[in-house]
Amino acid sequence: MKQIGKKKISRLDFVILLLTVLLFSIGMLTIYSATYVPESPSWLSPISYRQLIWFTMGLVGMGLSFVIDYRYYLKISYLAYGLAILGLILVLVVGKSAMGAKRWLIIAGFTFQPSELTKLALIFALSRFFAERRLAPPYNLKELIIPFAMVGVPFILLLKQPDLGTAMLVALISCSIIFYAGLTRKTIAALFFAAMALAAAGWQFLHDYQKQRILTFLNPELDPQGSGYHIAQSKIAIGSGGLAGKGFLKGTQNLLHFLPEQHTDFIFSVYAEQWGFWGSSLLIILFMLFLIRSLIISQEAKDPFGSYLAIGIAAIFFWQVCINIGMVLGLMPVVGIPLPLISYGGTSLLTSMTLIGILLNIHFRKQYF
Amino acid sequence: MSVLDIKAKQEQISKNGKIFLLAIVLAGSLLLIRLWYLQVIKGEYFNQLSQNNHIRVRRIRALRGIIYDRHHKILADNHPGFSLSVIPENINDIEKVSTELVKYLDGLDQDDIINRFNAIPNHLKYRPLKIRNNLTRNELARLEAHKMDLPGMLIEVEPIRNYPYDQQCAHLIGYQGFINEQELERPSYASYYPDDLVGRSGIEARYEELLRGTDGKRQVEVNAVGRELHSRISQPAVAGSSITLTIDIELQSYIHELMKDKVGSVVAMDPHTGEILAMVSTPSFSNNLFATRIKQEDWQKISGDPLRPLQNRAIQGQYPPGSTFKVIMAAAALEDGIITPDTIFSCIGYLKLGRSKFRCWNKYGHGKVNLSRSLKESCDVYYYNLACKMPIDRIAHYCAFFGLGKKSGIALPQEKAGFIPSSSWKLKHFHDQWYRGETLSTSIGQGYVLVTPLQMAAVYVPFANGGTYYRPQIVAEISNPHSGRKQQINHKAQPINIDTRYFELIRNALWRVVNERHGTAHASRITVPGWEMAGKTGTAQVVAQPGEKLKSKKELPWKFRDHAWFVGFAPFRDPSIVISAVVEHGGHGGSAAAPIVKQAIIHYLESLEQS
Repeated sequence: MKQIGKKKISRLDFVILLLTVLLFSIGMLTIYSATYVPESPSWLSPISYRQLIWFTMGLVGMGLSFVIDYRYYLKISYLAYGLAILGLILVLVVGKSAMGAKRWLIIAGFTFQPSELTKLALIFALSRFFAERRLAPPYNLKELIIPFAMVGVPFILLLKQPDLGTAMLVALISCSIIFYAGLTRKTIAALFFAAMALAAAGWQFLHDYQKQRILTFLNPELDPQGSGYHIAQSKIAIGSGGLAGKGFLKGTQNLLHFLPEQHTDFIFSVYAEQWGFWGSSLLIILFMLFLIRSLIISQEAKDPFGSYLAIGIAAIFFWQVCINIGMVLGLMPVVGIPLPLISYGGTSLLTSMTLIGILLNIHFRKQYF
Repeated sequence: MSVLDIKAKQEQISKNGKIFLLAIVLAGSLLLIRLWYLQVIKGEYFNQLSQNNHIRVRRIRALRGIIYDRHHKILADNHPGFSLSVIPENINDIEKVSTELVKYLDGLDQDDIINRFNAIPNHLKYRPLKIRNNLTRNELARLEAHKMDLPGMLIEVEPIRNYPYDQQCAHLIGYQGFINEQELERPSYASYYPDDLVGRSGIEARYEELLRGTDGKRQVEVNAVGRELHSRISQPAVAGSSITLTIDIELQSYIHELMKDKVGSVVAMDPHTGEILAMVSTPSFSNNLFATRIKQEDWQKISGDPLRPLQNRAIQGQYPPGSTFKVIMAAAALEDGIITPDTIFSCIGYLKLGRSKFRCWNKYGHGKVNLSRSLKESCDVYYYNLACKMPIDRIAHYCAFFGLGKKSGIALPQEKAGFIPSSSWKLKHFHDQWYRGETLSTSIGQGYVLVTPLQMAAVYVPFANGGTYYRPQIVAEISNPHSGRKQQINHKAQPINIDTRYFELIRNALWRVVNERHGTAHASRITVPGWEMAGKTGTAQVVAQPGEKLKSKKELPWKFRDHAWFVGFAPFRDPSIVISAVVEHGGHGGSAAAPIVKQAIIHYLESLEQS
């Protein structure tokens, strides 16, 4: 029994666990410095404190998603998907609006963002669809009508909110799973051109502020005081960190509030200003190791459902990291996507940790029949 | 589900795994390259930007130099006051902010502020824009209470210029005015901020550079909304040099009081140094009004006054010298050998030249007149006779010895040169030759001749001291409080190339003017033993000689009355002061100007005796 217990423990993926702890610690430290007020009586800012509470809740979420055999998720995949779609529709009808967009539902006093659930539900549903498919890959365009429809419905609902960032994210994640499942070369080429055409056509459906953001991104001088200002200040913060950084709690851009959203979307700038190139590279490398490890879990999964699910989770992390860091580095337009495990935010942290629990789950059960 | 299907799927998965690994590595590398570019290649650039973001350099205003009189009495210094400025770059909506400010500051001109705000070029937006200086206690309290509603507001303690003697020497000290946009663009004003004050007249203008000092720098850390957090002095301010004038403020005030209801000017000089002891011009103005932003109504009152109170008549008022000019004629004629001291001309009340009659002021004539008496009684015909024998250019030649027809070079701005005519000038400007009759007018200080009261004081200095011209001097010492270096200004003596016996002769004649019966200034003689005054009266025509037919001069409208001159010095034996006085439209020099000179001299000699 003792032997079996030891064996079981060795099946836990300590690499992912270690990376998770490291990334969260960096996040905590950065949130602490982003919300640091000199001469404040309390040593921990309320925001840092709340993030710690969310972390403990995240641990519970991680534990629960780990304990339940992931194959059980297969059974509830479509149900979850249905619920997510329902949530998105509800949000449009009765949702709470903020800053011109309806994104939140209030259930029993808790504000809740269905778009977070959508990401999860969609990777479940797509994984189940491809896992149960009685057809060998690679697939052609005709064989992909159903999965594209599965993506299309929430995509359009998200655009309606409007939440362009999440809609794009959902599209990218879904496409990653579909691509992973296998496409013919012809299909890849066709999809590529279709995406281009869609982007061009979609331009006119964008809201003015969204167009503005993209234009500003292409030419920051257009709006030095608005969103261009954010990117400019972010670049100044990161660039001024130099090779070695300004040191812990010494980031002037951060302390003097030149950075926008410094503890949420722009937290990477706060970190990079303090720790410089070495510190920032470390963070990026940690993320890359995390992604590679997730990819390995997907490769080693016992069944295709596990593989698809793991790659879906990896895709969620991959695209969020790339878009968020790309944005603060001035490589992408400003979209409100947090940096997983680092940015402040309960929903984001809870979701991320639940996803990591599923990764551990898949890895734990890879040679267990 | 067949095992085959699963196998196919898993093959596909492991095949795509490599592509995904590549994608992860590529994306990571891309981010790292971008990071390297921002932090390492452009790191220094962004570091500079982050410094500029939160470090503002504010200036520490240098204290303006103090101006003293010869006895170290303060003529201009600085008092602390509170000023309100706004920092243009921190203001988004000037309309809104100025609407707020109007509520707290009495009589604030909102349009003026908006205009000034909009006129600031972008690259100067970090410099504070002055809204008001010398805030009252109430205004200060209201502003402090609403500090939070007014972003970009800056309340500073700021020195305000103070002139304790105000009107009494306003022309001399001058005033300051706000710098204008054109000046700000010029490189010589590079260290100035919008709404800085610059010397506009008098010593304040002439020594602007020295008085101003060098502003210091303070590095201030600001946050994103521009609130100041910490500051550090990176370069201390260096106060401006202080300037000691040769003026005796006590005498100046006394003379100012004497001239109170008159229009004119009085200049007092030390005949042994050329130092100006007093320089009064009336009417005067309050230069303290200019120390803060002058009110529109005050400005209009001063600038619109037909008597032009801003003009410093001592150096800018150009008058015909009248008979005070005769000493130069006398000295020139003696030196050129045209006359001897004993040469006698006969005065029958006029001299006929061609068809014109040139009249003496005494229509009954003076009879036989020698040089000494010609001065004592100011006989015009005597000088007409001299003029008949002297070419105009010869007269101009001698005038130059006495500093006429050119600026004296006194350290005050906007000095006028006066005018001495010459034949070449006449030819050039009137395309006509010089007529003898014009020389006759010139010989009694009429016609084209123009002098300033300062010049006239300087003309009499050689007669007081026996033959040496001194350049009029207003500044005695300039001392730099930073280096402690003191620069004494040297007197500049120019001995005149005329026999000293002639100076002595004319000097004695000038004594008779005041101290003998029938002398034109006999009424103003000083009876204190040892303080006897010598001098010369003068009456400068404003309009052409009206002739006997017209009513008596007292009935003439004020503006047509003659200007009254008197230049005198005392004590006769060893003069310590020369004073020239002109009273515009005062009438006769002996009655209008001489008493002022007399009183001023007595006052001065008394004060010398006491000290």
